[in-house]
Amino acid sequence: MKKALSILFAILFVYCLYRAVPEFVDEPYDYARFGELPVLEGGRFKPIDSLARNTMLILRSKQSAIDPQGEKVPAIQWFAHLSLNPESASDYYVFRVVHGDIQSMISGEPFDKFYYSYNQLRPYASTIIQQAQLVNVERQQQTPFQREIVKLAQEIVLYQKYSLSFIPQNAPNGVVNEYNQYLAVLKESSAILADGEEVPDENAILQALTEYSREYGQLAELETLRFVPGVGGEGEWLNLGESLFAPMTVGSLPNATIYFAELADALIVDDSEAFSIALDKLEGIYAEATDFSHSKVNAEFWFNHLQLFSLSMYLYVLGFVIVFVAWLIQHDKQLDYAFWVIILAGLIHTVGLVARMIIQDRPPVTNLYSSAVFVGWASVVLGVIFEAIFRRGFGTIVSAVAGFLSLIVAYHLSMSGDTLEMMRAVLDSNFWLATHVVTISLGYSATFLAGFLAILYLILGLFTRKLDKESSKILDRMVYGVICFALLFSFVGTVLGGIWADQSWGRFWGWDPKENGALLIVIWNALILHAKRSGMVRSFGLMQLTIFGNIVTSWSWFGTNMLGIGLHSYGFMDSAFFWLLMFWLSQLLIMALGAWYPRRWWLSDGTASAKEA
Amino acid sequence: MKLSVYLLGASMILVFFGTLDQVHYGIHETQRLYFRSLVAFWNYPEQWLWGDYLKYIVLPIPGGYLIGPLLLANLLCAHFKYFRYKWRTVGIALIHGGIILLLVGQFITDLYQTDNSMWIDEGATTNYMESFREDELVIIDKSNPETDSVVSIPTRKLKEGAEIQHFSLPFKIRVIDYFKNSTITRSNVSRMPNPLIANQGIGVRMGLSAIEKRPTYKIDERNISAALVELLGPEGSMGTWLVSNVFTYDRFPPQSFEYEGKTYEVAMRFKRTYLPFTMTLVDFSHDRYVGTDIPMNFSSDVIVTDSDTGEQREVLIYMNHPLRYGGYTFFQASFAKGDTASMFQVVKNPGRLIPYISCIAVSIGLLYQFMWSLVKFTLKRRAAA
Repeated sequence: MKKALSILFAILFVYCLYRAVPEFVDEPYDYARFGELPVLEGGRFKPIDSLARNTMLILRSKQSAIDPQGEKVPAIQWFAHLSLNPESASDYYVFRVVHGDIQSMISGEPFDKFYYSYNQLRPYASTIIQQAQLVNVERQQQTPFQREIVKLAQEIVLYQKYSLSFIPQNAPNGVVNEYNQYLAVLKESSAILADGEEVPDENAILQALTEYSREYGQLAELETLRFVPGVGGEGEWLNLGESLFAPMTVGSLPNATIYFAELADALIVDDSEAFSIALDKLEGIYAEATDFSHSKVNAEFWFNHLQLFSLSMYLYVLGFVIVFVAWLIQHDKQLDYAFWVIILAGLIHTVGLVARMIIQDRPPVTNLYSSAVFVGWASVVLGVIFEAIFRRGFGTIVSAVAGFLSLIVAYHLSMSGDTLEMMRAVLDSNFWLATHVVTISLGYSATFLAGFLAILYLILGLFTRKLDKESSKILDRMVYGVICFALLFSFVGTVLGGIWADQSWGRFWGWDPKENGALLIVIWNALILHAKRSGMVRSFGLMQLTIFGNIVTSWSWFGTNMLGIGLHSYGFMDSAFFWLLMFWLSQLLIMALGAWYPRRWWLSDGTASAKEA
Repeated sequence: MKLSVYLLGASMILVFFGTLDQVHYGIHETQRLYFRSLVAFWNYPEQWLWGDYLKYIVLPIPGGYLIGPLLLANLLCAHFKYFRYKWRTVGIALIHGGIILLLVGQFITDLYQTDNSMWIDEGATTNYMESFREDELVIIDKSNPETDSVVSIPTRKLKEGAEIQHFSLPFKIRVIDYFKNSTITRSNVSRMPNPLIANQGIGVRMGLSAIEKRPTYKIDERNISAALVELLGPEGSMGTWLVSNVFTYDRFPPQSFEYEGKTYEVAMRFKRTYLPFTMTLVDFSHDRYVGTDIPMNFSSDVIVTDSDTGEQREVLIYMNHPLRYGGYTFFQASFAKGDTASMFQVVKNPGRLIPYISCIAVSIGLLYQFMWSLVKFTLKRRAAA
């Protein structure tokens, strides 16, 4: 029986690894290599693959696309079609439309309830954009319909913009041909303008020149990605439109522009060999460019591809399950397996975290997304340390829950786009990011960890016989210790924040929501310690107070950011705000359960004696 | 010790509701209502769930000036009554001492901190800063070509019907009405309740008048204050003038008039504070990340000239790198006019070092206590093993 279980766990473990590590699809087209090419967008160099994934996250809240046959395909495949042969991308289901009123306006059937293709939306694009322009109130006061129509309009504009990333719109006979024609027009018209020579069809040529410069001029003004390295590996990178004006100054089209045209032509005439050849040439160009870090772009590509965080998420769940089963069948050997699984998950989590730091050249926490990743990571590390000391499975299970929850939260936070974005000027200080933000995040981690331990205490006490006197004492000490740790870090973090504020805004303390939130955590932890030390509460009360600490911390972490969004407008429920409320409610319920559940029904008697003692 | 638990609980409530109400009142008003008062009252917002029924709920919240001193007293008493110095508790003493210092420091900051703004155009020199929120009514005597002499009247003296007399002015000022926030308009307002219509100055020449509006507390909006003042010489009224802080000199002509051969100007403006030194903006630069509009850095190259000490130096002020000079701290805060004008936030806080000291004390104390427990714990476990 027990052996069978171990084997089962081993199988599950392998399955997790298999599920989480994606493989390259064996396509005739080498989309993956296309995805590795670097572009300059949003102020930093990134692989096209990142751009594709982030765009897909914005449009569809997923990192994958749905092709016209309804198959799930990598985002990069869709993006290659969108940017090289837009017509062929317009049947991919990539727009997520949820609101009933908007859905009913669109005549086509959505794929899987919510997803529409560009072709389906196209007839309504101008209506949608027009409707969005009618919305003139601040985001807080918008109705769900308004909010979604504004978002959809922005998405359509984004889509159209990226369809003009690498090639211009009008190229009926292939892009390379189009460029040759354009170059010919340039040559002839400069001849006309220079010597006033008699040329047949003079007007037609000048007319064509005007057309070209109008179209390409518009392209040059788009704030879009830049893929053409500056001349000789130096100078500013150009976008498509700007590169098309290069012949007027340097006499020829930049190579990158030409090779992307070849890439597009290969895709249009369905010639996968030509596609690979064009890719070879492009890789040659970028290998020579020296103004960006090749290794970082490569690292980012692999980081995207490996999806380390989702792998560790699977492992956290597995670890949780193993501990649960081990407790159920009272078999301590399994606890060791769980411990090792969690350590592995934690290691993978760590690699992901470090990879992000290296790619971004920043301390671990730079935005809300990365704070979730980091807070979870720190909780896991603390939990693992506890497990190494006490070996009862408490640390493991709490690590598993904290790691899993934080990565889920992080996943949902990643919807807003590029999580490796550049930092705003105010925050641009690695020193303060590394000290203040990291310590305060450690404070969050510790408070949450204590809260989860306290929940564990209640659940074990209420529904199992596991919470004997000794376990109860251990948990009590753990929670108390973690609260001390949390107080230390949240206080130091808050103070460092104050010093930073004094350095850059001239005031140490401004009672601003985020500062107040941090202060709340400090006060709450101090209150818990005082209550415990003064004997106002014992183990049970300590646990209840600590669970409330979860609410305080989540308020400070997310709630304060939603102030003004979540609380200001009537009838408005952001989904994030909804989940925050749910979390609070769940914590309150657990506390109420603990308080109300008659002591004699508790299955463990350890707490009862702890209470009396 | 139990008392301190309750006090901590009370401060939780204060901070929480003080944060919630910022949505309605903005940061500065909330600070005044909650953190600088004895008791605050929190109303259930109408916009919330069931707000129509629950809006009558009013919760009294203990204010900052109530909790602060109580905490202070509690801490001090606890120390003198119960505290025995042992190695084990050195950390605690440090923590509590630090907290006491922090509370005192915050109080000093509340009382003495000033916060102003200073706009400079590239190439220009300034020797004063302007308040973010307060205005002043000024009468400027322009008769001396070298220097102007300014009589400044703070807005809190501008009450309806108040008469103000100053020994350097040969006339009295009567405040007909004063609005904290208003709409300045060209349209006919004579039918509106309580309009401000002047018979002299800009009000007449440009056909402007003012009507009252509810004050705003938004952090990015400023109240448009307006007043109608009547100047009274010995022989009676000289006329009424409409003044407002939006009548700035770059958009409106000054409202000047002659009296007894001297030229005077009357104006409402952002309250100014003059500095004992001058600042010249040499250059402002605004860097963006390549190919985007995301700002990367703002910086201002300025020259500080102190005529008293004869000191003159050039400094670069940029994000996270303020200039500290003469007790004031200058922070890069904003910019305008197509990146040719720069705004600094100018802060003076005599208590600014106190939090540093107290925080270091508390942090060391916490660390000490934490390490003490940790070491004890490991020793115990080693003994048990």
